[in-house]
Amino acid sequence: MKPISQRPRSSLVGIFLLAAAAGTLLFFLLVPTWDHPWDPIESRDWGWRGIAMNTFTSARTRNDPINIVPAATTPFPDTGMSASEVYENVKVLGDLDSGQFDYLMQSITEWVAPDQGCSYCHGDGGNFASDDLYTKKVARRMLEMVRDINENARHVGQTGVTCYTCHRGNNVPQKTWYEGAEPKPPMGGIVGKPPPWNRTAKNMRDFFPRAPFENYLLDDKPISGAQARSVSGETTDLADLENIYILMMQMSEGMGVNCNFCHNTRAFADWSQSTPKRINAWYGIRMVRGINNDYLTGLQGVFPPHRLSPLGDVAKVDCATCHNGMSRPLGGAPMAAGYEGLLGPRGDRPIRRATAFETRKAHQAVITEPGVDEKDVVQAGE
Amino acid sequence: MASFHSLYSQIQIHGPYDPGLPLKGYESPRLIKPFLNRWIGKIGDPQIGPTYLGFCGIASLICGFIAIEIIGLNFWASVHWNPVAFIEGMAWHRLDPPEAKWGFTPFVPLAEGGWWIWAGFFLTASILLWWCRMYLRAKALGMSTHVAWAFASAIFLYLSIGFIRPMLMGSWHEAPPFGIIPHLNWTASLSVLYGNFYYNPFHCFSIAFLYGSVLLFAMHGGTILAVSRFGGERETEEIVDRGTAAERGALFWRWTMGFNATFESVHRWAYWFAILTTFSGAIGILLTGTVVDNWYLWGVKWGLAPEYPATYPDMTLPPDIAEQVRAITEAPGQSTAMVPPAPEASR
Repeated sequence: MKPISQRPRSSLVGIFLLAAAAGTLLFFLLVPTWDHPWDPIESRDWGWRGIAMNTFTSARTRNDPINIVPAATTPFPDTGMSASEVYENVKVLGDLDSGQFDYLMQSITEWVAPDQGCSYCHGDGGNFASDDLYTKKVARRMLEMVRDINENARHVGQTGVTCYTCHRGNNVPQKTWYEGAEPKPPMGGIVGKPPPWNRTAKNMRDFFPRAPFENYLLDDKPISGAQARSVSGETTDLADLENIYILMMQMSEGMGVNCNFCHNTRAFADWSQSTPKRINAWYGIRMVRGINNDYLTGLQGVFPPHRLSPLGDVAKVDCATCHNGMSRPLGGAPMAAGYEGLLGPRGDRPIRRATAFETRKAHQAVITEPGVDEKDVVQAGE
Repeated sequence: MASFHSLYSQIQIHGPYDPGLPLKGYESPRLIKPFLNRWIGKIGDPQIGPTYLGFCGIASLICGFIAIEIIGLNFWASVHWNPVAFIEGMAWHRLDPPEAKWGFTPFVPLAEGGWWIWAGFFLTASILLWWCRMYLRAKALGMSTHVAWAFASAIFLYLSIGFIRPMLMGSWHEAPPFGIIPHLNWTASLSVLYGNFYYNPFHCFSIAFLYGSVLLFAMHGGTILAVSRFGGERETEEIVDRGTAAERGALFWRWTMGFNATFESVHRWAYWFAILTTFSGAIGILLTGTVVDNWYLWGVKWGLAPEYPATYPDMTLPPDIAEQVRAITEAPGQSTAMVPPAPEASR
């Protein structure tokens, strides 16, 4: 072989190109997170055979440490005295047995502030009745929220939620969203509108435009009309349509499911072809609106600035906050079981928003399916 | 000078440069001093240059540059000239067409979509000038203009999406935005808005021709490489004077699928499949919203979308939705294909 100085220059170009190709290949193999062939995507068919109503799940999501149900703890024995008899300044859980109360307080610490302990809310001064810290005020409101959800949210049903459903051992749940910057035209309006996302984005998820969240998870903008032209003759703005699309993709990603978990994708709008999951999702959107409006935005003045976005709004929830990539948070574990204090006020508190949870006694439509020959139906899954 | 008859061979010719045909008097000079590259020779002709831009090429590059500048500077301005944010948000930046209220007027304020119109104008001018260049270069070489017309089919799809259909619909707003993720979102949203493009028969044709093109390319490329040991790469000669390579290639397909194209007609197959991919796609786009509002319902009407037996348990609709469904069902003259049966009387 000739020494390198005598070889034609083009072979150096070739070596460089090969090195670049190898580098690119290594980058794409090593840097992104891949689904490994030995960790396959599971597919479950749930619909008429041959129409590919498949839901995809993966053991990797299920076994993600964030989705593991924490070990069960032993409740404390009842003391026969209510919490308000034993402690001062108990506003929400006053009627609870103090044994249950202590057990719940210990669990909340594990769920939300495992590193900081009791002092995260109660301070280091030893005065547990003090309301000095913002964390305690927030925690009290959050307790009311959990009780409201467990009592009234049809979306949650009998499963029940606890602080852990969202917090997963973090002071602030990992997946939240903030409002985007107000559109201020740059250059005095000579050029187009600014991006709807703000400069706080830390990962791909944060780059999603915020308008879908603001419109549909905060305001009561109807999430309909995506196929309205055919049905009602309404015209839908394509920009709204894109927002609905992004909202739906957020749901899809947040729950780790694909479109046809809820919809028959050949006709998204058609309820008669949708799976029953779509109804639960519909209530879920209303529940998220309720949480954001009735509880979180109300806490805006309580939080210190470092807990707020650069625009000054409080972190808000979407589907991923609880679901964390699973169709049922924590695999549907009945998290609230054994916690009397989280079970809500038994209907003696007014529901704040009629649309938030199902409180309307309007007529209900029952879809009666045409008769199906049992022999033809092979239904897998749930 | 000896000529080398090969379309694809591992033998590389490294010798005097091929200068090409002499220029005509009115043509501008060729660019790039020719050079040979062994690695380029592994995937094609080892000689790079000279190339020819001419009036159309230069005008096309200028228009394309202006279009990309308008798009890029709008992206950059939208993050207040922050270079980090510009790169960070590259996939998300967008330049939107005018809103629906502007209709199809060309006179839209720059910040409200006027920039989009200008960018589209220069991009279209650039593409059309490049088409002229392909046409004229083919003519200059004494060739027919097949390649230019195949390119024209793709341009027709591009114009149908961005200009002709918005014109027919009377609104710029129907056109896609510029931007990587925004234009993908537009694609998905438009399909859903018009009732699922999978039931658009011209979308079906387009896909069939696209996949067909891929299949034909694989069959043809495979056949020629397989008979190159018999001189099969001399395709053009064997079109006229059928040699053993052509015989064997033909026999192979007659034996495997009962029918064979010829060395000549297989190129027409590939050519028309490629052209019809974008042409039928353009027809499908032009019919959407103008003739057909909802392709799914169209499919139901013409038996393209069958009804499947229900496999889900009975479900109770949320009250809000039940009201909507009932209102739609009871409204006169409305299609009921998209809605479940009427709810029971209120209780």
